[in-house]
Amino acid sequence: MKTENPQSTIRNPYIPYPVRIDKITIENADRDLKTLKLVFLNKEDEESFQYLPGQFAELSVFGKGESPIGIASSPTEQGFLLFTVKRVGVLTSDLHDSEEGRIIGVRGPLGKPYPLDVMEGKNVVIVGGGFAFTTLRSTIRYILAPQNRSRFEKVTCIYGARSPGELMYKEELKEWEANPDIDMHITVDKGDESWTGREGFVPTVLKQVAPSADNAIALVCGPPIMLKFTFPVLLELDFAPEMIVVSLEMRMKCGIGKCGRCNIGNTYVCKDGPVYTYRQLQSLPAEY
Amino acid sequence: MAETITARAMEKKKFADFTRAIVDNGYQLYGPAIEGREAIIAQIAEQADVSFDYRNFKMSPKDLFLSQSEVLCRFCRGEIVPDAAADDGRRVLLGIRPCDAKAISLMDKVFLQEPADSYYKRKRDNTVVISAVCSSPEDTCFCTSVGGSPASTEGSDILLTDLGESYLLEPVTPKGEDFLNRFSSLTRNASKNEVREKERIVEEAASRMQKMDLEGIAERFAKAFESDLWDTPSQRCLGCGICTYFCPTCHCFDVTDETLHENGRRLRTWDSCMYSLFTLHASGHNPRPSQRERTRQRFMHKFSYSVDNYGELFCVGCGRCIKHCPVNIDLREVIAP
Repeated sequence: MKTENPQSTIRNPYIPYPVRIDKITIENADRDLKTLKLVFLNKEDEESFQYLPGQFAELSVFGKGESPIGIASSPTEQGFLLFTVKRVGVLTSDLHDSEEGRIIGVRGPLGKPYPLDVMEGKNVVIVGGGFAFTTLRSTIRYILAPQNRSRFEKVTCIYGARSPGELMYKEELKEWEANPDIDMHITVDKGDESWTGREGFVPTVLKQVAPSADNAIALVCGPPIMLKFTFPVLLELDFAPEMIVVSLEMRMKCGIGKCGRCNIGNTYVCKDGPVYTYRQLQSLPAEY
Repeated sequence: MAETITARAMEKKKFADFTRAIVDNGYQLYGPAIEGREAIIAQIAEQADVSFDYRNFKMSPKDLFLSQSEVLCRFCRGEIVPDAAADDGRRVLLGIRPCDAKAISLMDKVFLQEPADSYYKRKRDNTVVISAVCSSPEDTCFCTSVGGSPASTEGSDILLTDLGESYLLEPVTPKGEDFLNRFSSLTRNASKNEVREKERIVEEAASRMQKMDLEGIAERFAKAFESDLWDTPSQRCLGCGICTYFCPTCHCFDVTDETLHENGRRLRTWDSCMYSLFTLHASGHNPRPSQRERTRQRFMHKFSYSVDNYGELFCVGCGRCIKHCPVNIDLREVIAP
C-alpha cells in the first residue's frame, strides 16, 4: 500500500490537465450513468499521468467545479482514460449534458491504488455492487491483460446491480463470462422477463459462491448497505481483516491532503485512501 | 553561549531607520497597526512609528500565507488562461507573536508536504518573519501548555525582544541571519545584560499563564471518541465557525468556481469543519451529520490526528477561539486532563 503519489514536485497540483471527451457511452437503463472516454490534449501530460487500478482523479469543468471520480480504465489500455459518472449534482449533470469533443480537465492521479503487490501470487476475489464497479473494472482489465495475468492466481468476480438494465459494461461482462481466466458471477436484485441469470443480493451470492480464503484477497466496492452485509460473509469465509480491501468515497476538494475535509480519523481518504483494508477500518472511527 | 554571540541589538531610536531600510530594500513591510481599539497586522509605511506594546493581533497572520480568498486560476470559455503575473513581492512580517509564528511552522507541515502547495510555498519563501517576544499574555493565553513559550522561535526567522531602551534581535534561521547582516550598520552586538533581561521578561510572562499537563492528550482523545466529553461543547456550539476563522492553524479550505459571462476564476476560500455542508456528499449522505461530530472533529484534528500525522498539537495556545466564541466555549475546559 506504499505506492508513492507520482505527482511531480514542480507542477502546480491544483491545475488540471486538459482532455477531450472522445466518446460518451450510456451505461444503464436509467440513463444516469455515462462513461466518458477522455483523451489528453498534450502527449507529455498523458505521460506524466501514470496511474494504477484503484486510483481516482478530479474531473474538472471550469465554471462548475471539480468532482473526485474513480478511474475506470486500466493503465494497460493506452491512449485514453475512462470515467463512469453518475448524474447527481451540478458538475456531474453538466458532464452528462456534454457533447463529444468538449474539452474538460483531469487532475490526478490521486490516492493509493489497490494493493497490487499484496495481490500478486494470490487468488483475487472481486466483489462489486452497483455503479461502484468502476475501479474494479480497471482492476479486472489490468489482471486480464496478457502481460499481467500470470502474476495473479484464480480470479473470481461477483458483481450485482439492482436490475438487469443497471449492470454496467455489458459487452465486457459477456466477454468475461466466456473467458476462462476469470470466474464471473453476475447477479441482479430482481430480474425482468428477459433475465435468465442469477437473482439475489451480492452478499447472498457471495455466500453461495463461497470463494476460498486460502491464499486469497478480496476487493470490495459498493454502496454502504452492501458493504455492511458483505464484510460478515467474508469474515465467515475466513478472510483475514487485512485481506479484505475496500474503496471508500468522501466529499473532497483538493485531493492532496490539504483542504481538510475527507478525513476518517487520522487518515485522509484522498491521499491515505481511498483504498483501505477492513483491518484499518476497524481501527478508525465509523465516520464515513 | 552561541546565542550571546549571534544576538544583535538595536537602539530604539534607530528602529525607524531599520524599517525605512527594509522598505528601501524592496520589501513590503507588514507590521503592527491600530484598527479601532485593536492591534492588527497590516502593510505599514516606512515612517510608521512602530511599537510592540500590544498583546496580540486581533487576527493571526495566517491570511498572509493562506489567503481568506485566493485565485487558483482563471479561465475563459471553459479553458484555462494564463494569469497576470503573480505577486512575488518579498515581504517582512514584523511583530507577530511567537504563538502565531509557531502556527506558521505547523501550516508548513501541511502545505509544504509533497505535493507542495504552490501558492503557499511562494508566499512562504518570499517572507521573512520577525516575531516579537510576548511580555504580556492575555487571560485566554496558554501557549506553555501546548509546547510553546512567550519566546518560542519555531516559524520565526528573527526573534525580537523589546528591552525598553533597545531591541534584542536574535536570528533563528539562516534566512534571518542573512537578513540581519544586510542591516548590520544599524545593529551592534547584544550585551550579556540584554540577553539576561530578555530571559527575565520571558520567565515573567510565562509565569502569568496557567500550565496544563497535556501529556498523552492524543491517546486520551482517541479513547474518548465515543465518550460524553463532547456533549457540553457541542450542545452549546452554534456552528458559527468563528473559532476556525480566528485559529492560526485551522487551514481547511473550499474550492469554488465563479463565472461572469465567458470569463471565470477558480477560487479557494477558507472553510470550516463546523459547517454541515463541509462533509455533505452529493448523495445526501453526511458522515458528520450533527454538531456533535463536527465539534469532536475540530478537537480530534488539533489534539489527536495531528499528533499521529505530524507529531504536533495543532494548537498554539493563542486563545483567540476562547475570546471570540459567542457562547463562551472554553477550549481549555475540553482539553484539560
